[in-house]
Amino acid sequence: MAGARDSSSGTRFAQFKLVLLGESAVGKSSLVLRFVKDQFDDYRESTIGAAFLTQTIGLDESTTIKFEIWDTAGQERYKSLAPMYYRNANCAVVVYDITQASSLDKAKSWVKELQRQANENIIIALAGNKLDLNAKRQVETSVADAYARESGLLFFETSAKTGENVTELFTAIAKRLPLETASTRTRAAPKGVDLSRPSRRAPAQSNNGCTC
Amino acid sequence: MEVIGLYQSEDTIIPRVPPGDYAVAHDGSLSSGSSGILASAQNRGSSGMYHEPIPVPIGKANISKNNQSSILSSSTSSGNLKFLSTSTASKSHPLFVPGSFASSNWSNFRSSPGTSAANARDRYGFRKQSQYITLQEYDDWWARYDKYCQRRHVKWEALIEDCGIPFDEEGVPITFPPKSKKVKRYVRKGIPAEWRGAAWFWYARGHDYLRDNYGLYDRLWQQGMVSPPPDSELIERDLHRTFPDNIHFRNAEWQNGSVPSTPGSTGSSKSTASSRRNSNVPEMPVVQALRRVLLAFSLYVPKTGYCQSLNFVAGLLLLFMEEEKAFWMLVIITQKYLPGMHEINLEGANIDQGVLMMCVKESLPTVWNKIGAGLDGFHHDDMIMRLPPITLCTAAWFMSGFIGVLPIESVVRVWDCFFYDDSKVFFRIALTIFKLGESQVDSVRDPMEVFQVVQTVPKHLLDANVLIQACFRRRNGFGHISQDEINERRKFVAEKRRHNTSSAADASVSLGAKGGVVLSSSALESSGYLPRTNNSSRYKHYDAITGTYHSKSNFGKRMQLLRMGSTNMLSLHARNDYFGTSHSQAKEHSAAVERNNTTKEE
Repeated sequence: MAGARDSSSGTRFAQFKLVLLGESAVGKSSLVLRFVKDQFDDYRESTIGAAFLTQTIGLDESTTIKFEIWDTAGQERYKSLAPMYYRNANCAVVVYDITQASSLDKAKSWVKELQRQANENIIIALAGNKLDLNAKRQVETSVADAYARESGLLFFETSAKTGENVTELFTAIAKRLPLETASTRTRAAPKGVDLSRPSRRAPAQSNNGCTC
Repeated sequence: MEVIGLYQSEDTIIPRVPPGDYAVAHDGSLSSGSSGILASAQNRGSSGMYHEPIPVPIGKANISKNNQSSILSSSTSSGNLKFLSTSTASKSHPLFVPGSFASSNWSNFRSSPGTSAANARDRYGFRKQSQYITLQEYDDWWARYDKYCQRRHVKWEALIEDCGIPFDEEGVPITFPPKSKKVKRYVRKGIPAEWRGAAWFWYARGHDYLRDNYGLYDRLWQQGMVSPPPDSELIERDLHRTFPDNIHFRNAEWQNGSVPSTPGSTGSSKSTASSRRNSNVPEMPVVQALRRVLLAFSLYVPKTGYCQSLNFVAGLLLLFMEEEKAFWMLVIITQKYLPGMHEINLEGANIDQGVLMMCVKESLPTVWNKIGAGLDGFHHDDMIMRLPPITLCTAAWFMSGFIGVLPIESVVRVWDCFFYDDSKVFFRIALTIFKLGESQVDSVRDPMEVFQVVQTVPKHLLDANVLIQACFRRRNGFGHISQDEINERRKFVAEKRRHNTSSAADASVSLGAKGGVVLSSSALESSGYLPRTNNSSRYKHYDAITGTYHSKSNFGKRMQLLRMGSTNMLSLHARNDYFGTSHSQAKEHSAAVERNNTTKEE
């Protein structure tokens, strides 16, 4: 759910939940690190479970967007945890490694799962990472691009190492997000619930019947 | 770093193994079949005591060597270059020994501050400075802590001498004192770093495994090299993503200091990184050892195979003990201490997270109010089947044994207690982290922000003594949570999860009737787990609407099962499904439940 409010100054501020998915070692954490801190390590520790980060970007002079990012572990067995992240996600970046053909297959299966299971308005971007290793490329740009087109995905080839297309990727997602509808919902109360109250029954609205 | 192979010469091995084992173990065959792997020694010494090393002529080294050549040829034919380079490298030193942690070498790290603040290393070879801790903070703390460690070392030496335990040539006790209140206190105050590996191995009863499976490790990793198991590619991917900042794991080229990798200095890494990747630098010995340990493990425990996080667990073990021992410790951790946690469906992790969430809800209601919510901001009824998203963070705490969560000195102190005292320690520490971060967590207004806070709080807990003392202090600590309680809760959560997934529809009918459900309401009630419906006098403050107790719950006196809100399970007792029991009662009850179930089965 996008939290968007109009402040008195007329600027728009919106929060969106973003989840990163993809096979292990394709560079999910590196993409986030580049986006959030503009850093890069050649060898990044494997992500266990998940990491949570935020980054705020100015989309234009009057619009600020805060991404709340779940960076996930890539190994297959962690997949069972994924619904927890994408259940309420507004956008997803599905990452593959252009030097590993199999990682695109994995990305495709993630896209399928998202299209089946996630929020129906979810914005999905496909990111072919490790563009700096172009010499070892196994996945042609045209192939991935064609797939992205037919599946209705945003598509970028990125390099977390050089930073190429990283900001562009996240900005493009931000531009696709439903800012207009979000900003019209200017509720006085912040989103969510009063957490000072003790636990209580789940309201019907949040229960999609899935107990996983 | 100096690497000392166990193999002193082609046909002589000098391991630290009881003499009784020598006669038996090695049949000289290198079997890749399962019978060969599982075959264990028949005639082993009964004592776990290690005596002076005795050179024993066996054909082991020759076998390794012969096998290396077959590895080479098979790797070549399969085109697996990574394995090729490994086997070449391991030809001369089949086993990794943590030479850097021989006591004489420890001072090297203490005295070498590194070329820059960002590269200053601690005694284990990790960076002192992190995103959360400045070098100044580290050094200030270390100045105090180092003295503390030295004091503890003296105390430990006295204890060991009092127990009449001799030291080996490296000054490490050859055994450790039997468990007692005093020893427990000593362990909690920290095992001397130089003895840590030996003590962990001792208290985890690693010797039993080693003794019973002499030579198995070598056969396993060799088999793993010849015919890589399905998970070998995943292992390869993570080898260089395991402690890349640690001086022992880091690529040799980095170690020369030619390419300082400094967090924050993005410019330099951009320009030089590609040359690093492509350069043909030999792997660090510990990385090769890590490969062998993980390969052997994935073969030995196929139900688990390779799970991300085991790379860190094995990696840390390798800094403290020889690889064969590290391998058995990995087996012990995953089988005995954290059963099922790393298995393919991660169910053990889910179960423990369910247990942890129960504990948080009971002990730290303020924290629970913030972390118990889903991403939609709501608390869900059935938190056991639908774990709150915060468990995405906390599951990693358990799976990696707090590596990467707490600063490393705190991690090893937690592990001291863990191997001595079992998995309850992880629950206690997790609760302590929440307790120490309680005010920060409570001040969070944005429900998403809580994830950041929970991630960050433990990273600041540099002073291991603060953490351990907060955990075990009498008042407001968590030292009273017993292993029995944890085990009972694990059983409960496991049953509930299994039940809900397998037969949600007729759950209320199947309970008890199938006999195998430990926590059927009738069984629980009859055995005293559940307060009888009318027996509410002890629970005056129980709020039937919210399902929480207003009075402070006390683990030791009143072990509570939370109202997990399942309407189809324990339906009659949905509002009373806590059980009050003491530590010793729990055992009796457990037995009673089992008797009950057995009767039903019969």
